[in-house]
Order: sequence, then structure tokens, then C-alpha cells
Amino acid sequence: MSGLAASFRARRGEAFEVAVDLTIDTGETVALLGPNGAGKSTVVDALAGHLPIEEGSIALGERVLDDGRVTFVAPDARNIGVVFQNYLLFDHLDVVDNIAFGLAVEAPRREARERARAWLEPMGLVELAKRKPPELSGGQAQRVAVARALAPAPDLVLLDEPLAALDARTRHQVRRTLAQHLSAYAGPRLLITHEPMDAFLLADRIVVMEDGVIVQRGTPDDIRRAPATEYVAALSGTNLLTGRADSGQLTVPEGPRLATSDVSANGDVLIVIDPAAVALYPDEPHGSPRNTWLAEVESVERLGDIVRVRLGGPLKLMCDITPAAATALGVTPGQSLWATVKATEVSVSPA
Amino acid sequence: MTRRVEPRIPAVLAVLAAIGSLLFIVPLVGLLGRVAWSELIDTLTSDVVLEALWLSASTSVVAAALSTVLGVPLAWVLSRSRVPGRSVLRALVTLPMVLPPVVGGAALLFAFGRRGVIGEALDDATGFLLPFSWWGVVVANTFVAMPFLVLTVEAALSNIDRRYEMAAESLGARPLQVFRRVTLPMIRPSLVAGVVLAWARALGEFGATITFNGNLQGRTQTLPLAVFLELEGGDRDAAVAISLVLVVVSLAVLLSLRRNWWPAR
Amino acid sequence: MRDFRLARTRALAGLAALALIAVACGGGGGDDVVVVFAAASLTDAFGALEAEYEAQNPGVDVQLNLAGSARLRAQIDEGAPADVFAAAAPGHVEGLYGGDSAPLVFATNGLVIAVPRGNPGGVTGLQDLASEELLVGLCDPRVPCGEYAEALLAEAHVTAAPDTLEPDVRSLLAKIASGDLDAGLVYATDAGSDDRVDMIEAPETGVTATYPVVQLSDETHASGFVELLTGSTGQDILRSHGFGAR
Repeated sequence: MSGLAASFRARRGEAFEVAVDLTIDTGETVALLGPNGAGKSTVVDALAGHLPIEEGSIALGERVLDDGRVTFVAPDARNIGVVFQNYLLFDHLDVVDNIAFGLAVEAPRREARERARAWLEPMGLVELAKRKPPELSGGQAQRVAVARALAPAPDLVLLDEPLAALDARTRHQVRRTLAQHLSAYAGPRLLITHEPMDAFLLADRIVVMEDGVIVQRGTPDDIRRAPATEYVAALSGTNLLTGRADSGQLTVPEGPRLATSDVSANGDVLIVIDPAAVALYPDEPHGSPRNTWLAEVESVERLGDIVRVRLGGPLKLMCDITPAAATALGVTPGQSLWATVKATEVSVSPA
Repeated sequence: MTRRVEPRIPAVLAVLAAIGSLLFIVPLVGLLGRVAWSELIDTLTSDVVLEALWLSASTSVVAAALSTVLGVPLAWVLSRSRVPGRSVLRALVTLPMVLPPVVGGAALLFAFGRRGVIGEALDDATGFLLPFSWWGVVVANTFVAMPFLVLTVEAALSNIDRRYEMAAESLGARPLQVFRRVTLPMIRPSLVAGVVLAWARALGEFGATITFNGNLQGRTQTLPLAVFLELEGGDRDAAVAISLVLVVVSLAVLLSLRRNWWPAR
Repeated sequence: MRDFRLARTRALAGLAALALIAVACGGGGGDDVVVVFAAASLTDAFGALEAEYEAQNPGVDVQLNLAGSARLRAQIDEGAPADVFAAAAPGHVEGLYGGDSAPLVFATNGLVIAVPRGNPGGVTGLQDLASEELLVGLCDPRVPCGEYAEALLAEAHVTAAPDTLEPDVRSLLAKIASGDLDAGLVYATDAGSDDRVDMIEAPETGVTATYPVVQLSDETHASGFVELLTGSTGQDILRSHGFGAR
């Protein structure tokens, strides 16, 4: 099994064209990140075999799937596992038969079911084996969809907005378990999403797409540090820090201690703070129990309706404030301001 | 008692619906009122009725099966393929529903009769003729019944979410496997409804059958033909008794299957 | 809103009134209408008789209802407004004429063996109707044409092997004319009227179809029509269509 090498131009309808260049190594997760209408689903359709490319090539390891000319492998022969946005589980089959579906193409049904059952435990689906999809919750359905896609040992896994159908609370949980299941799969993985958090937390590398072309690629850090376009800048609009957690007390290297009400993880963690949750004061605030530190303004930029203040000092953070507040504070680079964030606004996830 | 909000039926709709129901209920009550109950058993166990019942049952079931085997692929081609001339084909398939059955029977005769386009060749080659035979009844029944199945299934195929089929493809299923394991189960309610409708239509078929196959007890005289002949011959009581058999058989099957083919509640 | 409802109610009432009037005016022969029920085999002949009567009596409308004799009798029993009833066999007018007298017979007809033009089946006589190889058709015994055929075959000691028993003589004739049947027993009048059909005389057996006519109402034109039937003009017309003397 080796990686995906795709470099092609594809057209949807008369007007819309995408041009992309993607390589994914085995064991690597790449996120294709972009707003709606960027062309992500066109890329998915081209990779999956529902849309022939105009020119270029799509190759998985040594197999050429589409060369824009003569070679075109049909979707059912590509051996690409897909986890669809709304899962598309087969309602008339139970969980085991769903997972076994890809296996039952070649093998007899009984053997396929046996092999599918091996997936129940690792995915936490043992009690749900006989249930049918309409009886499953969002998170459960997602796990079945992942198992179903991975069971036939595909050469590539495509996850098309796999968390979009979940509510915010479940997303967080499911994102973590998804990361575990993906790492158990050896091949290349492509994650399609418009949600930056998914990309930052699940991917090794991010490829950003806008209007049919790739505008930036790099690691999550690269993207955040040096966004190439306004969209990317707005994307990376959340603070991600690494540190250690111990029952709600967080230590950040060279930074102040932070308190969080999120005790879901201990040990090495990723710390997420929404820029809108960071408040700035000219004087040290007293009274409420908040995380407070003295920060230095590094840069100020106007992004649409908000003003993004990049803070340096003990904690490098972005802070979004209203233009009115910016004027009142008179934020300028080099200025010292007190920054606070409530413990409830700090969340963690295992690193 | 748990309180529930009952749907309120607007008065105008209720009145019209009641009139509509009467249109179906009154003739049935009229029929029951005419039954000569004392002679009913004799009539029902007579050869005429038993043979007609057997013919109706066997030919309608086989016609429904034939309609399914041929109709589902036809529906698939109409719904999914890009073969040119599809709309013409669809119009042709709908034709038996629009034409008077007698015209259909005449058309079958022109095709399969002894001097017919195909009938003559078939007769010369094998000595087998469709008219006046049990298979002729099946063909006439299938001719009028299949459109119901084709249109029902075609609508269902066009309305299901194709992405499920894409999902099956992504898992390696080849087109026929996708059809068998995903598409067919997804259209099951409509398919069952189509088969039941086709069967019901075949059971009640008269015009095409009598024109194409004539009438002979034990070979081609189905229940509808038996009723007609009794009426022509002036035996009202026998006609009513046989009609009762038709009604009872039809109602029994339709009601027993209602959970399968009644639109999902 | 109220205006609309009022207008709608008025419209419905108007429709209902129209419907009632239509029902009241329909049904039953008026002064200038005579309703004649006649057996299907009389179709062509009675068409000519209708034209003749209307020509003789301007302003009078002869309305023909042509169908199987038993069906017509059933309709009359249910109260259908017939002024005259002409059937294909005496049995169907039983109880409609007064007393013990015999019904008035206005025409006779014979049965012949009809074959498709050119006689592809090589039929020579009644005994061929017993052949299993040939496709043979008869009228169903429950209708007059079938009654006569049964009697004829019994008289000739032939056990026919029919492939179909048609509900009326016209559909039987059609199947013979198209070549779908090799032979069948139909009325001489029907065989004569269709040139796609050849006739083979059936042996003399004394089985003849007799057509009775009954006057059902006191309308002037009811008796007038019956008189036409039995009078010389009517009889000539019937003869020209192949019917035998009364």
C-alpha cells in the first residue's frame, strides 16, 4: 500500500473548474480545507471516480485511476473507502451487515459477517450489532460509517465532512475517537472539511482551497502562523496551545498557569481558547476568578467586523475585539494590556 | 385516557370524501343485497365457478410475476439509462392503461394471432398459438397489468437518493450487485405496491382477454368472463354469485397485504 | 368573504336544480320517440328499418338499443323504457305477451358454417367442427345463437370441439373473418354480410332461428313499428338482409 499522487484539472458543469495537486503518504492525514463552493466536492468526486478529469492524473501507489485520456477506473474498482457526510448507512441492513458490505462483494455473506464482527469491539459497537441505522445516534452512526469504509482495507480513505452532521457537543467527543481510529489505519487519509478545528486537530498537513485552486499548504502551525489569504487568516482564527493539564490546572511552557473548567483530559494536551473569549483591559482587573496576565500587543489588524489583536508576552494568543473597544483601548503595537480569559472558555483535548 | 390532538378535517373535504366513499360502498352493498343466499353454495361449488376461480388465480399470479421480471428492468432503463427514445418508450408502456382493453386485445391478436406478425411465425415454427390458450390469458393479463408496475417502480427509482448507490459503489459493489443489495431493498414498498396493483389489474381483466383468447370454460374462462357470460345469458343470480367471489378474493388479498403496500404510515 | 360564500351557495343550488330537471326530463319515449330493443343479429336489418320508418313518419325518432337478447330482457325487467322488443329466440320474450298465445314471429334465420375466405382449414361439413386440429368457435349456449347451434349439432349427432364459446355472434364472426378461427356456426345473415367470410350450408335439420317481436307500450308508434316489421315493406327489407320468411 502506498500513497496518493493526484495532480489534475477537473470541470463541473460549464463554469466551474478545479486544479489541484495533492500527495498523501501512507499513514499521513491530509486535510483539504476550504469554504463551501471552493471545489472540495469536485475533488472528492474526481478521486472517487464520479467525475472524469480533464487532464492530469490520479494514481494510488502504482495504479493509475484516471489519466485524463484513456485510463479510467470505475468507482467500484478504485478501492477507495469513503466516509460520507451523512454517513449513508444502509437502513435495511443491521450494523454488522453494513460493516460487512464491502467484504461481501467477493466473500460469501457468512464469512463477511465474521470479519465485520471483528470491528465491533475496537469501534465500541458491540451492543449495537443488531441495530439498524435509524436506531443509532449521530456518533454511533459515524463509527459504523468509519468501520464500513475501513473494513475492506482500502488503498485510500476519504472522509467527506465526517463531523458535519453532529451537534457541537458530540463533535468534540467524536473528533477524538475518530483520530484514534484513523491512526489505526495504515494507508493515506484525506479529510475534507470546512471546519478549521477538524483540520487542525486531525490532520498532519493542511491544504487550503478557495475558488477551485489551492491557496496554501502546510502544517497546521504553518497555516496559523502565516496565513496566505484573508480566508486562511480567518480560518486559523482560534488559539491552539500545547501544555500539560492536571485536574484543571494547566501549565504552558514559559507561560502563566491557566485554570480551566474542562477536566476531560490530563497529561499532554492541546489547549483551545477562542479569540473572542479573550478580553483586554488597560488596568489589572480584580474581582472575578479569571486567568489574567500582562500581555504585549504585537500586531493589530482589521478583519471585517472585528479587530484581531495578536498578543505576545508570556502567552502568544490572538484576541478578537470590536472596533469600538479597539478605539477605546487605543490598541497599538508595543502597548501593554491586561488579558483575561474565563476558566470556562479554556478547553483541552489530549495531544 | 391520553389526550391527543386529532387532525381536523375541513367540512368541505369531509363531505366530498363521504360522497366519494359512497361511490365505492353503495355498489358493493347493492351487490350483496342481490345475492341469492340459498343457492349461493351450489353456485360457488359448481364446475363453472371452480374452474374460473382456478384460471383467474393462476393467470393473475403468473401475470404479476411476469410483469415483475420484465417490468423492473424496464423501469430501470426508463429511469436510469440514457438510451435515446426513452420518452417514446415510456409513452408506449403507458398506452395499455389509456386504451380500452378490447383495443389492446385486438392489437395482441394482430401480433400473435394465427395471421399475426409474430403469431404466424411462431405457429409455423412450433405449432404453438397463444390465442385461446392459458398462456394467451397470461399474456393478455400481463399486457394490461405491467404498465402499473413499471410506472410505480420507475417513479420510486427516480426518487430514491442515488448517493446510497454511490456509497455501495465506493465499497466495491458492481452495478448488478448495487441493484440487488441496495436499490431493490430501498424501493421495496413501491415494488410491492406495484406488484399488488399489477396483480389486481390482471385479476379483473376482461376486454383484452375475451378479444384475444375467446371464452372456454376450464381453459380461458376467468371469473370476469364467467360473470359476463352469465349476464349475457340472463342468469342474474349466477352472475352476482360469481361477482361475489371476485370481490371476496380481491378484498382478502388487498387487505392482507395492506401493511406492505399501503403508503407508509 | 361573505359575498363569495353567498355566490358559491347560489351556484351550487343552480347546479342542483339543473340536475333535477335533467333527470325529470330523461327516460321513456315521448310522443315522437319510439324505443326499440333488438337482438344484436338484427343490427343491419333494423338499421334499415329505422331509416324506413323515419322516412315514412317524419319527425319521429326511432331509438335502437342493440344487444344480446338476454341482456335486453334483463334491462326490461329492471324497468328500462322499451316500446318494442325484438329477440332472437322465443324464450327471451316469455311472460311479456298476453295470455297463452304464441309470440308474434317476424323473421327466421338459419345457421351456417362460416369459414375465413378461401377456407384455409379445408372445412367441408359439420363433422369438421369436431376436429381437434382446427380452431373452432361457437356461440356460448347461454345466448340464442349458441342455443340454436347446440340444437343443430345435437340433431346432426356431432360433438363439437370448440376452442371458444363467444358471448355474441358478432365477435365470433370477427374471429372467423380475421382468420383466427378456422370455422364457426353463425347466422346466415351474419355470414352473408361480411365478405371476408365464406359460407358452407349446414345440412337441413329443421333447426331454425325464430325471431319474436313484442309490443311493450301503447304508444302509437310502437304498434306502427311492429306493423312495419310484419308488413310487406319490412319483410322485403328483412329478406334483403338474408332473413327467412316468418
